[in-house]
Amino acid sequence: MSPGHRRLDDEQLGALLEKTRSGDRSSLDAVVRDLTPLLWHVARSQGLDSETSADVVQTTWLKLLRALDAIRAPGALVSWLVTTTKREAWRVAKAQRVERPVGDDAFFDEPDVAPGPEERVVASTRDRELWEAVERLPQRCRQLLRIVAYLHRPDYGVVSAALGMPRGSIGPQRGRCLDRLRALLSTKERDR
Amino acid sequence: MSTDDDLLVRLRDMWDECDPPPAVLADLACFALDHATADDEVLDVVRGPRLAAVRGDERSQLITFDSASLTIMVNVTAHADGSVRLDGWITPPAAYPVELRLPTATRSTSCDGNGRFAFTGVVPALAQFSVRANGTVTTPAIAL
Repeated sequence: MSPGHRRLDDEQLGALLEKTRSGDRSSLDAVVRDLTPLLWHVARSQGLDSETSADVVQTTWLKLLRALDAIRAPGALVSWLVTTTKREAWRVAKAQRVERPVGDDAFFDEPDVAPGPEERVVASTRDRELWEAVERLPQRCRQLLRIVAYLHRPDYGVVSAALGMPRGSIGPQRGRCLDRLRALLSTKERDR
Repeated sequence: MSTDDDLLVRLRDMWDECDPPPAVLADLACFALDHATADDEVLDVVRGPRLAAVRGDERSQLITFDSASLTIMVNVTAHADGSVRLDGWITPPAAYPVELRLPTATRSTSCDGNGRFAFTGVVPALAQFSVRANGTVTTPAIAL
């Protein structure tokens, strides 16, 4: 388990949500600190670069203020945040394509929009093999795994709509994507 | 072979290691939320590429903040002396009051009739714009 990336449980999150709704900004800050990593991974899973992902996460938090009245339960909060992050990511990616026409990239001293291992130093061999295997998964699996890795299992139901999947299908889809990943990893081991 | 949960933990560790959220991201969000209210209209951010300016010792970036009702284009120029100049252009143009919120202070100005405004000699830090149009329009915070 990596400390700092595990969500508060629903009871704690629910209590903070209740205080936030009554105007307590320090509770809102605690919610932000707890759920920002999840939203970051949602934005990155959509193929945005780091800077744009950070902007999208912030915009999502600001837009939450207006939606807060209608959000009563922790699950609804997580669902709203994941949905909004995905929608914002899509909108900004579309606006960026207009702003940065394809082919102009060579002039700019910044990395490509798409995330990839080449812009990261993947420290250990073990991580590098896993990263490469993930890169070879279908995009749908990459996105799903990157999001569910940061969710509690009880949240699967509430985020299914956010992920555009029928209720109850995330568990089975997750299993199939992990099977494919295991197959890719064992191919790699055999090749060595 | 590992169970599904073990493999997910490995994946999470890998992403934590290789592509974690920027350490300042939650701080930026909390800073941006600090003065925002539920009535604010929130602008999206569309970043242009970073360019070396005409003079080689400066760098500039055009950042567009956008909503259905208002667009703020801000050219951020970082000078060699470390200070930052912000040139803004709001459309539709009008003489809106504009605030630049920094961690240590809030600076105010107004657009001219063409929707243009500027803040000079800004110390690089977190910054957030707020424009009083029909209601209050707020941007996410940017790290200058």
